[in-house]
Amino acid sequence: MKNKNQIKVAILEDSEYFNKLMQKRILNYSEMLTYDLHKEFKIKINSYLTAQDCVHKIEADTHLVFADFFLEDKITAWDLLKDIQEKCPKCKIVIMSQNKNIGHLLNLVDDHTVTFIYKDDDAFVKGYRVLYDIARRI
Amino acid sequence: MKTKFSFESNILLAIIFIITAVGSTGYFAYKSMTDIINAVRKEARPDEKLILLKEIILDISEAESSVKTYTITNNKIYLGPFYQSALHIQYKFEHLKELSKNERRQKFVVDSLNRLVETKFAVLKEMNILQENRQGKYVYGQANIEKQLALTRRDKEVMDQIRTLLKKIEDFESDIILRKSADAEKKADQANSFIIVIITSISILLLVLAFLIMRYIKKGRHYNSELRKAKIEVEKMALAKEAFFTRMSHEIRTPIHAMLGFTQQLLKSAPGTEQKQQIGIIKKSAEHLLTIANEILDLSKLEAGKMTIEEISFIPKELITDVFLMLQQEAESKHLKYTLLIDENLPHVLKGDPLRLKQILLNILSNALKFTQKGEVQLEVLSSRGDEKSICLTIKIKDTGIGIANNRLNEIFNEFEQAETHTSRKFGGTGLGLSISKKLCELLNGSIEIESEEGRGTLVILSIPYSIGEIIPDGKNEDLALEFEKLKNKSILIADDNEYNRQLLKVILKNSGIQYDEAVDGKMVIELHEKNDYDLILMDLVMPELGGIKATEMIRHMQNKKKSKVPVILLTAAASEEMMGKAKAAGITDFLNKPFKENDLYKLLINIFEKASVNTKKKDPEISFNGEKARDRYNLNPLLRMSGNDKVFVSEMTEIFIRTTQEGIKEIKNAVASKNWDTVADVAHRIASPARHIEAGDLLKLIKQIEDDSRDARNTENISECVARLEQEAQELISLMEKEIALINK
Repeated sequence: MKNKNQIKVAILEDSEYFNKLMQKRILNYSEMLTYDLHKEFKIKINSYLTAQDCVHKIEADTHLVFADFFLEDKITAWDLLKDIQEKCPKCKIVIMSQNKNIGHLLNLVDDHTVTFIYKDDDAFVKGYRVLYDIARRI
Repeated sequence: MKTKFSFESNILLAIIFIITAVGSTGYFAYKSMTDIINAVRKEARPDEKLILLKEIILDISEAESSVKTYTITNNKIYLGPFYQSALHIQYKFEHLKELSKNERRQKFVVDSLNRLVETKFAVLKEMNILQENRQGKYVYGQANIEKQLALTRRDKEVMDQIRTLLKKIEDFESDIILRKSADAEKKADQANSFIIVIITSISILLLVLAFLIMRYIKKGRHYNSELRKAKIEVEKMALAKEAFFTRMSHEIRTPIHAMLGFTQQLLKSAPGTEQKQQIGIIKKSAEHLLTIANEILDLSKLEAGKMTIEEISFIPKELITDVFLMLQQEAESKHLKYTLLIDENLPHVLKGDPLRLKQILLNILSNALKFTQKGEVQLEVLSSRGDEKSICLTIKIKDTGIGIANNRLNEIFNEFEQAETHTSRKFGGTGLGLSISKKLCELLNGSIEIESEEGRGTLVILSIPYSIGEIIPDGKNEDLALEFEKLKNKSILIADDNEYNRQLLKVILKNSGIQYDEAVDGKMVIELHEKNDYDLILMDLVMPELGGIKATEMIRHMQNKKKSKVPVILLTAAASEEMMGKAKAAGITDFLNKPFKENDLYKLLINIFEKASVNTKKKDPEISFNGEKARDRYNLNPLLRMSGNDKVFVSEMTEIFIRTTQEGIKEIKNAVASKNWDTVADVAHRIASPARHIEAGDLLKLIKQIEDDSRDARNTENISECVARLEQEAQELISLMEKEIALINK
């Protein structure tokens, strides 16, 4: 498969368990994107367990960042928004949490590059839709 | 209206006239009759003058008789009546004169009579004197005889004159009576004539009135008949319109679906970039046409009262969030601030028609996005309690878009109306959306209000009452052994006209290693099923062109026996009992109600494939620890399921779980020893989520207790004991997991 469209996705999740789980899920999406958009897609995932690691190592051409809101050492994804946006200005940031109020908080941010996904049974479908929208524009 | 008024006025005037005429006639008749009766009564009374005259005659006779008797007897005692009569006559004449005082001629006659009667009495008196002079002598002298004869002649003459005058008076009185009778007769004749004229007039008027009323009734009947005919015509036209819209919508949708289907096929065949773009445009145009056709169909259904409303439990937060997310891309492409606020008091489950709510919301929200170029679009959901079993759901959609002028606010709910005539040219759309939304709202017993300011934005407020629904079991606690091996490499056809629903199904199926194809309507299902072999079809109930039930019927009648027996699961938002009956009769294998959970779908798929398979009787070995089944302590199915039964992945994840849990417990122990309660809480929080994911209930309970106790540094004396129990529980669990992983890896 030559000339595959590549989508770079970063995962920031301090739980190793969920970090791996998300990688698996997102990798599964590539076939679906190919089917839905009639293009070959390759998803490249960079995963980070710590905020510091993410901010330092995130690649500038990353398309999408899935970040858990509550990170270790009392850091939240909210605190990292500015740093991530500086490193990769075009990337879309999806903040995920089981706390609904985080969504309300994020809604106050007048920034279309940040989206909130509530972690429920349909979170993976919502995540796919975000990825799908990015892939559609590639 | 004018005719009706005129007729009523005519009738009213005629009635007033008749009442007046009848009243006047009655009064006149009464007056005439009274006059006549009075006259008759008066005439019937004996005439007093005549009576007096008769009495005077009698008195004169009495006086004559008295004088005669005296003359014969020469006894003065017999002269008593004479004097009495003279006296009586005097009184009677006075009375008579009184009665005649107003009639000059009669008065004159009475005076003459009085004088004659006085003369008569004078003659009689002279006779008496003559008798007295006889003094008992029986022989008159010659002079006395002559005098006697002269007096007698004189008496006779006077008496003749009296009689003549009496006759005159009697004649005069008779004339008066005759005249009065004639007058009375004349009055009676006049009254009769008047009554006849009035009765004739009233009769004519009544006839005219009857004619007018009859004519009015006839006209009314005619109008009624015309109205009935017109009503039948209108109903026929409405039916024809409805049939036309329905047919037209279907007719339009058929080629659109063909276009959509084939463009999809063309896109799959991977043409060049330019062709792809062109095909993409065709696809988008077809989708737009489909939306218009669907709106027209909805409207015709609503107008015909054929839109049915379902009563099923649904989760409002999910539904609203889905709608919000479906349109998020559009908001982002315009760089709009796009927010969703949901009231925390919103009940988890409501009972009503989720599809219609979704339709209304999608319409209003997409309108808000369509007409907003900058600023924000906000979707706010509020819930106010009605009583214990019901709420009023209020949804506010606020935008900072182009707004609507005040004078157009009332018109925008009209069909084919948009705020301005150029709106449809600039922004597209049929102008049916709001009309449909309003009608749907009313069908749900709700209301829709709009506040807007031109150039500033619009606020749409939906208020819909709902009863609180029952909790939909999520199946997490069910003892369900999902056997994903049975799903791997199965081929399933997803048939749904809604892209989002298809996407949801695709994501779920993809994770389980299931192969799938998509169909957007029943016709496409038939075509694809004829070409390919599917193990199962997930069929939406309502689809354009060919619905799920009809498509299933066609599948069951296929020549190829294998294809005709393919299991079909009907996906339905809310099927009525009648619909379920029809579906069963058509050969539907099973049902799945929307909105469904991932587990519900898996459970159903596994059940169906299990039944279909004759070689899957072999049971998986059961893992237990000290007599306890592994399934009771944790569940690796979520991992197996999401990885598409990737055993290596599940093994790796289990290993990560074991390692991170053990490390976490170690960190907790150290932090407890140094009484660093914040760290204890944070680490407990970190290891809790994986435990929750594999449904390790007992382990999770202990972790959460440690997290809660240490978060507020309360019950810290119990934390060490709790950590010890956690360590033991984790050991047992890990032991079970290792055994299971070993089995899986075999």
